[in-house]
Amino acid sequence: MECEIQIDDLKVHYGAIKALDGLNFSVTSGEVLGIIGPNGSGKSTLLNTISRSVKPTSGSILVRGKSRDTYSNQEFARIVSALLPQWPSGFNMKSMDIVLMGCRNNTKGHWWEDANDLKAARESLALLNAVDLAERNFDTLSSGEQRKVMIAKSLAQRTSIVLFDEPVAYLDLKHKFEVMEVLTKLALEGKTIVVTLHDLDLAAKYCDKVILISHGKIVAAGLPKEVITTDLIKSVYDVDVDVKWDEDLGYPIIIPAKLARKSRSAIAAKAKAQSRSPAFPDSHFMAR
Amino acid sequence: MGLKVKNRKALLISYVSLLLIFLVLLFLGSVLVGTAKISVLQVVESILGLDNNQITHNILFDYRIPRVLFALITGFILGVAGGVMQALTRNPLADPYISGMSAGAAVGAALAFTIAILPFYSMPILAFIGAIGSLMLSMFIARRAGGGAMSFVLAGIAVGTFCNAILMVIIAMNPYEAQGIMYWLFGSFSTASWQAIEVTLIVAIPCILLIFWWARDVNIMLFGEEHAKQLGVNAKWLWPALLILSSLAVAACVAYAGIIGFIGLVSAHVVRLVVGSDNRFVLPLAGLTGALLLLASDDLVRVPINLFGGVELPVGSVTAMIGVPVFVYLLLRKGKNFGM
Amino acid sequence: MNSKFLYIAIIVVVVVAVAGLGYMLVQSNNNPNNNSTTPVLNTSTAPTVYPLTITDADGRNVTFYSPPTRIVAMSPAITEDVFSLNLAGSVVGVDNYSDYPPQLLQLENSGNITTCGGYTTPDIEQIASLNPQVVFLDQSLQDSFVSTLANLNITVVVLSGNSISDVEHNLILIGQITNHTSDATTQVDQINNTINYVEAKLQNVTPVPVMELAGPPEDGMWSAANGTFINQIMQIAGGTNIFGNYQSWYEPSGEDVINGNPQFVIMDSMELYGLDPQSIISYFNSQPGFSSVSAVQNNHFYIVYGQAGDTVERAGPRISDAILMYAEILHPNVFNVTNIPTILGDNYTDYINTNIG
Repeated sequence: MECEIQIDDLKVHYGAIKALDGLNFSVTSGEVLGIIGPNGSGKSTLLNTISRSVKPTSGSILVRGKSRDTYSNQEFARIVSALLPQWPSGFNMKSMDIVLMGCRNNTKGHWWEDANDLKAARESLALLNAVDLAERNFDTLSSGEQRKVMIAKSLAQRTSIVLFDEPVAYLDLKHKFEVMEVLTKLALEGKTIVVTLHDLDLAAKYCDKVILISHGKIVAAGLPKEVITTDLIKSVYDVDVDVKWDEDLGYPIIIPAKLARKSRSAIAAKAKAQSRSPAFPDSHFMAR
Repeated sequence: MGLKVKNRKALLISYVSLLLIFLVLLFLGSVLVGTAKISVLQVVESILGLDNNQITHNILFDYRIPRVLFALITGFILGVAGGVMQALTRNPLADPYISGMSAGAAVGAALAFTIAILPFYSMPILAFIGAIGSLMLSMFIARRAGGGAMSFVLAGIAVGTFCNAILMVIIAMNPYEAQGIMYWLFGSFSTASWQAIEVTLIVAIPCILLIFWWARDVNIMLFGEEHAKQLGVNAKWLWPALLILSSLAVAACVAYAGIIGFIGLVSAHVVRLVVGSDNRFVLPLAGLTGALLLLASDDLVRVPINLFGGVELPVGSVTAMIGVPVFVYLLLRKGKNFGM
Repeated sequence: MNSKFLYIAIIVVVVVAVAGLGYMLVQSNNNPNNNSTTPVLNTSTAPTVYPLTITDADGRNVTFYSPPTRIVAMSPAITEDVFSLNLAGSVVGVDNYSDYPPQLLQLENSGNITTCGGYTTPDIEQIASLNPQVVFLDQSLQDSFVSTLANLNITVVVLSGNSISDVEHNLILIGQITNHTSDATTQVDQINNTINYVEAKLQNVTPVPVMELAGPPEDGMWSAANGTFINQIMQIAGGTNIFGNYQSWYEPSGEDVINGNPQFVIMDSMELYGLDPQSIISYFNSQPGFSSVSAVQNNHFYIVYGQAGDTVERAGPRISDAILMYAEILHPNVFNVTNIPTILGDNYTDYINTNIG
């Protein structure tokens, strides 16, 4: 397990706005790192800075021990693949062609992709259960389907470091889990995965490590259990919640406090009115 | 499942071959079109050197054939350039002149017409300089304005409008030459020559070859600079490079032929309807399509029908008359087909 | 593919562009243009000695080894020049707009002369098919076709028509080339004699203020100012151009006209574009404030069109008619002419006195 990314005192300032204000952390191979935080906390900026879309104001980013600026475009593209959350519309091309674009840096041919590339593209699509999308025109896909194709494109780059910004946005339940499982599988194969997530649930379930960012600073870093706690979530997200870790399952349940209280009092009122036993089993709510 | 690589290569080759066959046939037919009545037999004799008719020989080899070839070459260049500009700006309405270079070239030509001390052969040179000058100005402004595709389009509009204003002033001050300037603006191949072909090829061949070389990266740049960067494509350099290459090639043929519209706009769209937006297919096929369209247009202009009092129609009006219905037809289809 | 390659590629391309430009220039230098002033030709009537090398209006040296007998003239003025030198039998092609002299139309009908396209769009193939021995082009609008015709090994002579001296020069030049030198001298003498005659008669006469109009005022008022052909004619004919301190063409406002207060307004146009001449005059007269203009008050708005207009607009042998016509319009008493109608068309010769004896 090597240290693939090392961030030291990373600052990104836009004039008075401090998008990132002194971050320190590292990512090792074979792990899935989740970056969570409220809107505007700097998650995307962080990913963009690592992927070289954004220039840091100060601090260092080491990718595989070398400063990230020392790599040429092509070299870097062979090591790091990044998926941005948005892309322009209007591609009158087959999805397969789009995925094949990911093979640009690894192909031997200059114009056409070779058999290896096709194999890699097909495998990437298969990983995401999106093989049936290959022959379809990219424009005709739903946003979720397009996202899967874009993810496949990044995976087809066959890089060892993968940076995904909001990979599961707009995906339905099944595909959310599918994608996260793919990422886990890739990590098991030794790749380094960094994702930003809004869904704390997913972060807790699938990430090996989690970093909680707020206002450009790291508030907490470590195992999901250590970071996704009631106090931290409450303070960073400015929301009244209860975070209960289920000891058996090993996953947390995050309940907005208002809903919990409302539910308890609603159930009690109903029970009173109908003089019947509560409609809900009392294990979750009443046992507090 | 999926397109096998061999299939795609083969597909492109078969498309190219098909269009090439049409082009060759059209070329042969075009050689027979013109005011001077020259029969097929005479053409063959001339080529074989068997004829003793110097006039026919001269007309064929020093006027008609270079004219037809030049129309073909110009059509090819405009088709490719239009396709590239549409891909680079992700704008279906883009044409090869989007950098305002057409107005710049027009100013150059107008100066050649109206400034007495300038010799008569300076026209192509001034038009070329005008075109490149306005391109450089647009790029300079766009760079300062952020460097994105949109800033470039806007800079091109600004420069083009300004040059048009200058053009209007020149025309207003020289009403006598106005007619000549107008005809230049409409575009015409009547002054085509082997020299024009040589110069255009010298400038355009390396440009077009380089554009083809980077066709795959053009595809990747369709996602925008950010995405392209992730795939190792340095759009910051490639984008302006392609712009310059395309504009140089266009400037060369515009210098001799004037501003010919619609070929650049329409050719790539027609091709995309059939093969999609993969620029490895679109660019070469748009070139061949443009060559076919423009050659056919010039043929119509040269047909010796005295419909218009013996006046030769400007080829730009014919391309517009052909191009507009084609464009409207494309427009009426689902808008999705304008995707890049 | 990294930036280094791109750098190299761009440098290569720029070098190529410069090479292309340079090539254009080098090629062009094969057609020397010294821009020398047109040399003064002597008006001798001696027959031409061949080989003859002349310099045309573009500064090109053209050599003739024998008098050309297959002539193409690509502007109406040049056509009139050629016909006035008794070369009708040698003309094989003219432009579409040539329509004078009447002999021309007969020759076109009989197929001896073929029309070869428009003014800015000469039909190159048609010209070439006629196997001409010389093609005369008009410098102002046909320069771009010089190399096209030259590429076909066709002898081209470029003529300019910006002044009366140009007209005389062209006549002499054509006469020299075709060995019709005495015809040329006759034509030039006629022009000079007309000018002398008119100037002599107007020696002690005050010039009258005149405004020239290039077309119907409904289409916008454009007036020929200093440096134009028409201005020259006007001055010889005893008129002062009220816009003579402007260069080339001037677009006067209504105020300019009122302040200039011309005694005569002469509109010369090749055709009337379907407008009724009287309506043109009424339109002008009814412009706000024009009622104070002398020309309006004295009904001195003249329309010169058709053949009459051609004499003024074409830099050809009929400028002598134009000079006389203007002189007699502006100073009828001096030239003993009465009843010149305000509208002069194809039959203008009925009304003007061309006797300068």
